[in-house]
Order: sequence, then C-alpha cells, then structure tokens
Amino acid sequence: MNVAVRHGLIQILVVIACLLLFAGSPVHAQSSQDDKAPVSPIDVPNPGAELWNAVRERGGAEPTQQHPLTAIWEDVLQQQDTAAKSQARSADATSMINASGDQWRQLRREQLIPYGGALLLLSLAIVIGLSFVKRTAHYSESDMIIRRFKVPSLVGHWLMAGSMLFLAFTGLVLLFGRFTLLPLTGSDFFSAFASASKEGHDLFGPIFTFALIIFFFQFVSKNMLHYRDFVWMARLGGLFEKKPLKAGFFNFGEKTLFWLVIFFGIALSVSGFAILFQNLLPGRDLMLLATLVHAVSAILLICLVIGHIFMALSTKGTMDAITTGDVDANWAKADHSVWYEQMKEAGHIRKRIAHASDDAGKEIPVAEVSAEQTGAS
Amino acid sequence: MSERLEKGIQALRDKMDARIASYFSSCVHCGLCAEACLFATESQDPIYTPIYKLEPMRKVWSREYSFWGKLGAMIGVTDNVTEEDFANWETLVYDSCTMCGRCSMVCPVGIDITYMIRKEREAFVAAGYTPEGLQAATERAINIGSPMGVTLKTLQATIRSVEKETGLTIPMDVAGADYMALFSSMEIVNFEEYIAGLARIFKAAGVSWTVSSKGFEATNSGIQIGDPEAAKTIVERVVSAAEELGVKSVISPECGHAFMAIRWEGPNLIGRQYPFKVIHILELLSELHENGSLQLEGMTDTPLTYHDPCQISRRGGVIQQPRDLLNSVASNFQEMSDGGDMNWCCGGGGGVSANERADEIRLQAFNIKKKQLAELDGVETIVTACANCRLMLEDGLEHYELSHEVTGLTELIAEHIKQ
Amino acid sequence: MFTDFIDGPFWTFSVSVFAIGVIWRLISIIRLGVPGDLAVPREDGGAGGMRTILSRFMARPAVRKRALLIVVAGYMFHVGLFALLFFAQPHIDFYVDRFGVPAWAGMPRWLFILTAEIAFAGLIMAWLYRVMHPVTRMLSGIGEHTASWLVFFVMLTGCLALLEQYDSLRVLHFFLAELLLIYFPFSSLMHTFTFAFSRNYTGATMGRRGVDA
Repeated sequence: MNVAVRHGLIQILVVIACLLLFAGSPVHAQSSQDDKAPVSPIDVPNPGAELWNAVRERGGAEPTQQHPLTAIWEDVLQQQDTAAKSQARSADATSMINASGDQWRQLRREQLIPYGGALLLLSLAIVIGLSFVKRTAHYSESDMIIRRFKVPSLVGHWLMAGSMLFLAFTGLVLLFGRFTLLPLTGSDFFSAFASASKEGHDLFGPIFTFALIIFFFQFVSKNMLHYRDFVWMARLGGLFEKKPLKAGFFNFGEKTLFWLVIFFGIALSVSGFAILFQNLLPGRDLMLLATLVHAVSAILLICLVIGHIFMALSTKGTMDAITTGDVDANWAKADHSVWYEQMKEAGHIRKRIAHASDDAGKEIPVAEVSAEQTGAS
Repeated sequence: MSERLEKGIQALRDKMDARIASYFSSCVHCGLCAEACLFATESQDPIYTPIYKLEPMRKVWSREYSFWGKLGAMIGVTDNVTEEDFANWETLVYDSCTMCGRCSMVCPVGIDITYMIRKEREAFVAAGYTPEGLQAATERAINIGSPMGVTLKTLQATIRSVEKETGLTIPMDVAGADYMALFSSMEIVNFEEYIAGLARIFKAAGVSWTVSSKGFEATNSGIQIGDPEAAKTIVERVVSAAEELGVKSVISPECGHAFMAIRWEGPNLIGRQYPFKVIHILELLSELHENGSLQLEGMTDTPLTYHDPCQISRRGGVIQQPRDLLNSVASNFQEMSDGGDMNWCCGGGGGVSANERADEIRLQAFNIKKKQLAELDGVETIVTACANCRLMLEDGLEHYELSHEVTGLTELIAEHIKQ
Repeated sequence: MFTDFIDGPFWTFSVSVFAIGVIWRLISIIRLGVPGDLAVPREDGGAGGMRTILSRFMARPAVRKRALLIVVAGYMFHVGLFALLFFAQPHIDFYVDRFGVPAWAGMPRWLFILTAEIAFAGLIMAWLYRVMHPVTRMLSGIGEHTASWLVFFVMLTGCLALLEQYDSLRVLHFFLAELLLIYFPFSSLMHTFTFAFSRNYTGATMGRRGVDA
C-alpha cells in the first residue's frame, strides 16, 4: 500500500475509533439534567479504587448503592430549586446547593476517567502495535529538495505543538494524577505537583489559543477540500489500487487531521476560557458543561496527536518537512504528486546544499562550499 | 604553527579593542544581519551571514577574552584559528562582503560588523590570504600610483582630451588654489565626462581649483585589502601634494571608498589631522548651488532614480545633498525602496569588483538591484555618484539583460548649468 | 535544609558571582580602549552614541519587513520579561524584602498574567526560530541554547509557583533563578548590559560621520 494512503487511513481510523468509543460510552446519557437519581458505578479496573473507597467511607454522604442517600442529601435534592435570598450578585448566588456538581463528580470519576484512560491506552497500544509492522521506504533519496514550509509556518506548528504537549501533560496530571501519581508519590509531592500543573495549565492555555489562531491562518488555504479529495475518499484512499492516488500539498487524511485539530482546538479554547473565567458565566451548570467539553475534546485530541506523531516519526522523510522545512524531491513526488508537479513547473526544485548550516557549524570546514562557489565562476 | 598563521593570529589579537570585545560580548546570534546582506538574501545560503564572516576573529576573542574560551584553551578543547580557517574564510571575507554596512545598521545590539570585517581583513593580509586581483591592484597602487595602472601621462592625455572637448583649461599644480580635485582611475580611464563636468561647473561657479600632478589618485586599494601600510602611503601622497600646493580643501571625487579613505580613515592612518578640509564633490556642488554661485536651469522630465554609493551615503553621511541636487534638475526623480541610508549595494564595493573570483556571487547578489529597479515606474535612468558603482551597475544590468542607462550625478548637473 | 541553603548562602553566592562577574566583564571591555578618531567630525560623537542607543530599540523597516517573526517574537519576549522582572508584584515584594529598597507600584494581577503569556510566547517563538531558521541554526551553539532554556525554566517554574502556596515550588523557581544569575556573566546574556556599549560605539562613529545609525 502506498505510504501516503496509509498515513491518511491510519489517522482516520484512529479518529473513528475515538469517536465510536465515546459514542458508545454512557457519558452523554449521564450529562442529562433530568436524571437526578444516583447511578450505580461500573466496575472498572481502577488503580486508585481502594483509595477512593476510603474517601467514600470517610465522607459518608456519597449517594451510592453501598452507601444509601442520607437524609441530608435527600433534603438537598428536594430543596435545591427553592429560591433563597442573597446579597451576593454572582451567578447562582441564590442557589443553596447545586446538585449537578455532584453528578458531574460522579460522571468524572466513574465514566470520564476510566473510559478516557482506556481510550488513551488503546491509542497508544494501536501505535505501539503498528510500530512493529515493518515499513519499507516509499521513495529513494535524491539530492534535490523542495521548500515545503517557510520558517514562520514551522514556528507556528511547533509553538502550537509545544504548548499542546505541555497542556496535555499537565491536563493529564490533573485528570488522572490522583489515581496514578498520588499513590506513587505521596500527597506532599503530589499536592505541589498538581498545583504546579494547574497553574502551568492555566498559563499555557491562552498561548495554545494564540498559536492555534496563527496556525489556522498559516495553513487554512492549503487545507481547503478539493474535488481530488472526494475522489480520494470515494476510492478509499487507493487502498485497493496499484497506482497511488493524486494528492496536492496535503492529502485528504492530512486535511482531516487539520480540521479536527482546529475543531477540537476551538472546543478546548472556548471551554478553557469558560473555565478560567467561570465567574463571568451566567450559571454554574455552564461551567460543568465547559469542563466536560474540555476533557472530552482533550482526550480525543491527544489520541489524534498520538497517531499524528507516530505517522510523522515512522514515515521516512516526513520529519524533514517540519524540522528543516525542506523535503526530498522524491518524497514529494511519491506522496504529493500534484504539488510536486506544480513546484517543478514553477522551478522551485533546488539542489541540496550540504554544509555548515546542517550542523552546529563551527567546526565544519567551509572549504568545499567555497570551492564550489568560486570554482564554478 | 607556521609563521604566516602566527602573524595572522597576532594581527587578530592586535585588532582587539573595546569595540570588538563589546561587539562579540553582545552578539546573541539572532541572524538579523543575514536579512540585511545582499549576498545572504540573494543566495539564501546561510554561510554568507555577515557575523559568520567574522568567525576567525570571534575564535581569537573567545579563546583569549571569554571565560569558556579561556577555560577550554587551558584544558585543550577550544580550537584556535587554523590555516584552514584562513583559507576557508578568505572567500567569505573578500568575495562576499563589500563592507557596505547594511548589516551594521540593522543589528539590534548595534554591532558594527563592517568595522570588524575591515579589521579582520588586516589579519588576512598579515597571514597572506588575499585574493590575487586585490593584491595586484594594491601593488600597482603603490608602485605605479593607481590600482588600474594609470600614470601621470594617462591623466595628461585625458586632460588634453577634456580641454579639447570643453574648450576650458584644467588648472594643473596651481599653488594657493582653494580646491584640489582628486580623481579615481576609473574616471580618468572610463568616465572622463566627470572631469569635463567638473571643469564646466567650476568655471560657471567661479571656483578656484587645481589638480596636482603628484597626488591626483583618490582610490585606495590599501583600505580595501586591509593593508594599513599601503593605505597610509597612498593617503600620504595626497596629503603632501595638497600641503605643497597650500590648498584650502581637497575634493573627493565621485567614488565611494575613495571618500572613505581620504575623509574618514586618512587622518587616522597618517596619525595627524590635515591642515586642509576634505569635501565630497556632492557636498561641494550642493553648497555652491545653495549659496547661489552655481545656477542651474532646465528640468529633465526623464524618470530617473538614484543609487546611493554605500561609502558615500550610509558610511559617509552624504545622503541629502544628492537628493537636493537631483530635485533641482529632474522633475521625475523616484526613490528606490530602501533608498538613502539603507540602499542596497551594487555588489562590487570593498574591493569585490577588483576580485574576478567573486564575479559569480557578485552577479547573483545583483539580483536585489534588479528587484529594486523593477518596483519603479518607468525608470530607465540610474544616477549614481561613484565610478565603481557605475561600472558594477552597468555590468549587472548587462548580465540580467536590462536596458537601463547609468550616469554620474556631476555630469547631470553640468548639463544643467545656467548659460 | 535545602530550602535554607537556597534562600541563604546560595543566594548570597549567586548574587555575588553575578555582580562581580558583570562588573569584571564590563571593565575588561572598557580597559581595551578605543582608538581615537582624528577625522574632523560632522557632529558630536556622544550625541550619535546616545541616539543609536535609543534608536536601535526600534527595528528598521528594511529588516522588519524581511524578518517580521523574529522581530515580533523578540519584542514580546524582551518587553514581557522586563515587565515581569521589575513590575510583577511578587518580584517587587522580593526586592523590598531582600534589598530593603522602597516598594514601587506593580502591575495588576491580570496584567502580570498577560505579560507572562506574552513573554512565554515570545521566548518560545524566538527559540523555535533559532532552531528552524537555517542562519540561526548554523550560528547557534551550546551557549545560546543553554541561555534560552535556562531562562525558559526560570520563567516556567515561576509560573508553576503562581499559587504561592507551596514553598517547594517557590524554592525551585528561586534555585533556577540563582543558576541563571551565576551563568549570566559568562554568557551572551551579557548583552543585557553590553548592548548599550556596542550601540554607543557604533552610534558615535557613525554620528561623527553625520549618519543616523
């Protein structure tokens, strides 16, 4: 199978897998407001389960089957809609207690964390499994190169990628740390670590949004769908064909990735800002919704990125494009034939300069280059 | 370590002053200088980055003036400059740098890279790594009196021709004249229109002037190659000629580096101030025009532009005068983008034009002038004020198959003298 | 114990290294001297020097057009870091506490956070440019990368400690800042001070020639 095709297909598969898993999970049903009855937990393997049980024992007000509702909780549920008076003018100031907060807590503990974690592990497993599949190089190296990305595009990509990875790391600590790290590190370390993650996450969030906006404008014109892409889609990316399908600057798989990143990026940014400025929201339920959207989008985006990183690292020549900005002419010919032809016509294929600039530079003699420059004159 | 290497390193060491130490201490390798250098932008090859051309000098600074360099040298891990470095950097220092000074204008920490290149070239001379073309020019300048081999006889022949054409007398060796004019070899050989223009203008403006038979050559190859002794010898010829005739001022001709050599570097080379003033011909023309002694008439409506010679405008400070002069004789003067103190070099300054080895990279760099010219509206005439720029522009235009005409500003002014 | 060491002796040590190192570097530059200029100047060199010290704070249009990204990133980082260093309330409190200087007005919290975001984005973009652009990639050595990453980690640990509730986080930030102080005089971070020297030398020379450099 053509590698470019495989590239696109795997990304689509990962996305579909993500979506299916989430569609099948009870997350959506649980977020409904009408359903105020306590939910029975699903028995999932959970490294922090014992700790949790201890917490529940200690609290005692947890409405679970093992611990039936206390009289206080019954009261709360009955009276939560009763209007109270308050001098405070903030959102939901007159609400005595908000029971949906507790529902969110259950949802987070019993669905989001186990299913989300499982999904992330599954993505990793897929990637690790695929990495055992031996891949042959899909092109032979030449000494001709084409400029694929200018420096600002490279910087735009890596600013977004870097801030996204930092946010993913700190976000995962906040979502899963309590069950994975806390038992390992103890509470002294973890509390500081979690606080640091939270502050770091808050600070880097807007940087991600800034990067996302720059990235969008840098790449959007190259990601507009073309009739070629519908052909690509209809013929399943040329999976059962001998000749690779035509692709422009980006193929359909890459375009899909772009739009999903933008979609989840916007979801994350909007919900993230809603959480950061929660006191400006009209109601607390909106904040809970934002938190849910934030977590779900984040997990899906991380799964996507896992696939993206795997494809970039495992496809020969691809990392060149996003580190140096230049690609081998044969790489372009194999994977992006239409773009290659355009570049060829415009005379943008040039000879690779092999010298100082490729390395640290200081110790590398410039003799060959200088000789080349002057010898030719 | 060979003797020539020893000499080269010693020369680099000797050049180290507070300026250079401050410059190397300040450089954060931001790469902005590459965006200002015509060799770097037009070749898109990072080795032409201006600050990178100073690597040999930086190595000596690092080894002898920086903590890590000294520490590294002590334990034997910091490299010293090698003969290979000199050999490799020779082309970077001489072929792909015109000392135009654009990089020095954009450096955010204010590094004068051009100043350091000038000093680094002195070390290359000491180590004996210099391009043949420049070596030969310098030898001719010392032995014959002109880098192009122009002798007094050649000058006399040109003057006879100019006198015949203009019907005016060129005053030779007149003691007590107000001004002593210098020429560049290129003007004597290729552009005698300049000398004719000068004669007409001075006649019209009633200027008392003369030409010395002992010191008429203004160019200074010693400055270009980086040989202070040669440079000093050449400057001294002019100074003693001017002192002998007792003139009040010496006029630097329409030549960039000649002005640099005689006006700004000269006194420092000979170690004393001159008993006379040095003035660039454009400064003088502007002065004469302003005080009314030079009356101009007629406006040409031919669209034209002005190419600033780097050493006259950016490095020499004569920026407004040519514009005032042009605006008084031309109704359609268009400024090139980046014109003035940030104008792009013709590619042939700093001795590059005398160095045939550099032709290819020089013509590649000329592409920037092509782009600048293409932005103008119907301009087919380029006015400049440097014989070397003029020749290099003509060469570049021919290479890129462009039909622009190049002319000197003094000639243009001479055409508009009020009769 | 580690905290006491970082707060006490190590702080004294790092500040001393910084102060002595910087002064020593500056003196060793000035000591080399500059050759006098005998050419009759068009205008005063001192005025030209001052003018260039100030005017180079603005990027020339010629280079702004060609390298917009690094110019913008450079401004974001430098302006942001300057504001953080001198106008972030926790820093002002620190200077007052350590040096006994009278307090001055700090930025409001929201501006402090916004400044930090800008400085971070600028620093990251500048470093990315450094490794992505062929010119800066060739020029940059271990010194530049060490300086970039050290500054980054100082800023990062600072932002991780924003809650100001965990002493361990504060000490981590403080420790890295001390490392930066020690590294400072031995690196191109010295441009913080020497930029004024360089601009002055260039500006004075060009000013004497009548050029606004």
